[in-house]
Amino acid sequence: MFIRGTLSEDAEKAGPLALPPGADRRMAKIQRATCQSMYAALNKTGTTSLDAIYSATALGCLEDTERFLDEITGPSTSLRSPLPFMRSTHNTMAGQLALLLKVHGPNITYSQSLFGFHAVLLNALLHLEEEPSHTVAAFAADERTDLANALVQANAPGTVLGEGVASFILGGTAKAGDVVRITRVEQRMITDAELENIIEEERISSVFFATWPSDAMIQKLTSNILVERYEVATGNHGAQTALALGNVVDRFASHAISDPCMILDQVGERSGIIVVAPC
Amino acid sequence: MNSERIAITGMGAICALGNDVDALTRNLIAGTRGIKPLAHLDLGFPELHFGEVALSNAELSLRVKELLGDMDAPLPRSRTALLALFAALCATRKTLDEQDTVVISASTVGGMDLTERLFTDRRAGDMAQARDAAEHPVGSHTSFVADAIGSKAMHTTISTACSSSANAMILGAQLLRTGRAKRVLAGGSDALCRFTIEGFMSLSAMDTTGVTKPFSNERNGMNLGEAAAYLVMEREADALEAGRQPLAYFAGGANRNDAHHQTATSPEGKGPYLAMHDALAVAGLGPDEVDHINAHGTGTDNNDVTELAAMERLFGKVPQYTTTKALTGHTLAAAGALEAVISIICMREGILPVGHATDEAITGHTAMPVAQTIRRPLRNVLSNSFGFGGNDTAIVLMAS
Repeated sequence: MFIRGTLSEDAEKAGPLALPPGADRRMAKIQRATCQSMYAALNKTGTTSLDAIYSATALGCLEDTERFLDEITGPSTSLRSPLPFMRSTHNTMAGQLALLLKVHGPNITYSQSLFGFHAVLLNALLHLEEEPSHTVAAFAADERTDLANALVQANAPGTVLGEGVASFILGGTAKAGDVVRITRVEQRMITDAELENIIEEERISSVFFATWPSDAMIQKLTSNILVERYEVATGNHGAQTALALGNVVDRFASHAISDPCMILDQVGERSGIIVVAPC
Repeated sequence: MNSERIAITGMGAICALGNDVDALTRNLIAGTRGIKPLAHLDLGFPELHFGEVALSNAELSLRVKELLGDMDAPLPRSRTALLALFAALCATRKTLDEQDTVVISASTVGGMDLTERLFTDRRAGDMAQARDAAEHPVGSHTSFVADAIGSKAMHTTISTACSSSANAMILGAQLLRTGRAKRVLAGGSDALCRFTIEGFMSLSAMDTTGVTKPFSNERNGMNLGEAAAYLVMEREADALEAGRQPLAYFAGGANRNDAHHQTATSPEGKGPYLAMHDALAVAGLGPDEVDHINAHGTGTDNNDVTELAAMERLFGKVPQYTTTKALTGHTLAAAGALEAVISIICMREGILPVGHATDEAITGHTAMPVAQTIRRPLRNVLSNSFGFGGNDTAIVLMAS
């Protein structure tokens, strides 16, 4: 599975696709940010049509959800605006993009903390193995609200809730402009021995952590592998892995790295891995 | 991808029509309706009818504990997760080593019942219940299920509104066909809560007069319901080798997008048509080979007329169809899996249940839903699940 690369640095600013005027006027923050991110990815890669949209969000449309919760726990009224409820579902962004871009193909949204994005890439891989000529979009998006941040801090002191969006255009066959391909995506309990085997099999030279790894894990990997934590300045959120992947793609594009690398996440006993290799 | 058949070898369900598959089967055969005013949940809305599971949270917790036996698994507090654990443990029956079982669940509300309580307390100036937010993420219940059955494989949650658990089954079949999973537990769970009730009220999509009347000119909305339903999926050869007889086969499915409106379906039902058409193509069946359709059939003005238009366009003469949401209520993310379980019961029992009987087709159309219980063998059943975001899914189930 190939991540479509940048065809033109200027295309992002003046590509063929633009949000219709006013389309994002009534959107909440996460929806506007997702549309902008996906349109930039489409324009950068010269993509004008999609066959499917796969998305991930850990906490979904918090702003609209909180707005509707505030309404229904407030004074009783027979007249409520349906808008925040309609836009509170996790698949709002993927649905909006299908509507704006007229994509009638599969449209799936995953939600599993940091691991939603691994399912997104796996589903994209399944799609492109079956239809190699197709082009699919993949993104992860999460937004921060003050209340959600306060609740996260109350439950996990020291943790700051962040937000972010990262979008990718994926294809089943190589194309001009591509610099990387994804050779492996997994999310499960992975033993140390299995991890070592994967690192050897895939000839991994560097491991990027989207979240802070345990000291034990760092010690396991430091012998002959470069270990780096992808710095998320805005705190922890469900789209971190996707942002880390975007960072890795940029490093390949600028030739800062050229050997296969792994993005490794750990949540409790479970691990998520994405292996990225040069084309 | 190989063409090996995907067998369904286990099912668990809890809904307004019964607390397990046996009770659900009995009530489907008896023609029972599960829709009535709330009796176990303290949510208000005395004027509305719902498909409520006939157990309080405390009773549900006890049932889950019984199923867990001596296993020291932490119990969730949200109703969605309790329903999910109960149905998932019934489906797997704890007889198998589920270490390699991939868990694909679905939900739209997750622990919203707890979050609602948090918001009410917060309004009163009390933030002491912040831990209630821990189960808010829709994927939280899936982690409880994966841990309870002892799965070390992938687990994930699909949240595509009311088509979610039908999409979970499609992903499960893809993982099995490509050899990426040995066994899959696919399904979904959604509990009744104020958020969805108020939400569909704000959209004027709820039937405020009693029990929903889908596919009739008198239809005026849905009854919300709650449920959890899970199916064990595996490659036929693996099942037979282990001595597990298939209950039915998952023949194929397709998820397509209407790309028309955030909550309404296009007048011609383009997304529903594409989903049904492509699901049959994946299953390798022609429209004339479908014996029965378990329609999405919410009872809303928009859904029923557009779904019927799509069915008429694809089939010409529409196969005998019914909507069991008139019996269970609309169980949102659980609906696809629950209606798959119901469809399999229908195939195994050779029965077509009545949803809502009408003697007049929707104006401008001719096909009417099943009006009286029919007993006949069923080979192939198509089940529709459509959701917000133009998300349309159809799956095809085949008798074993």
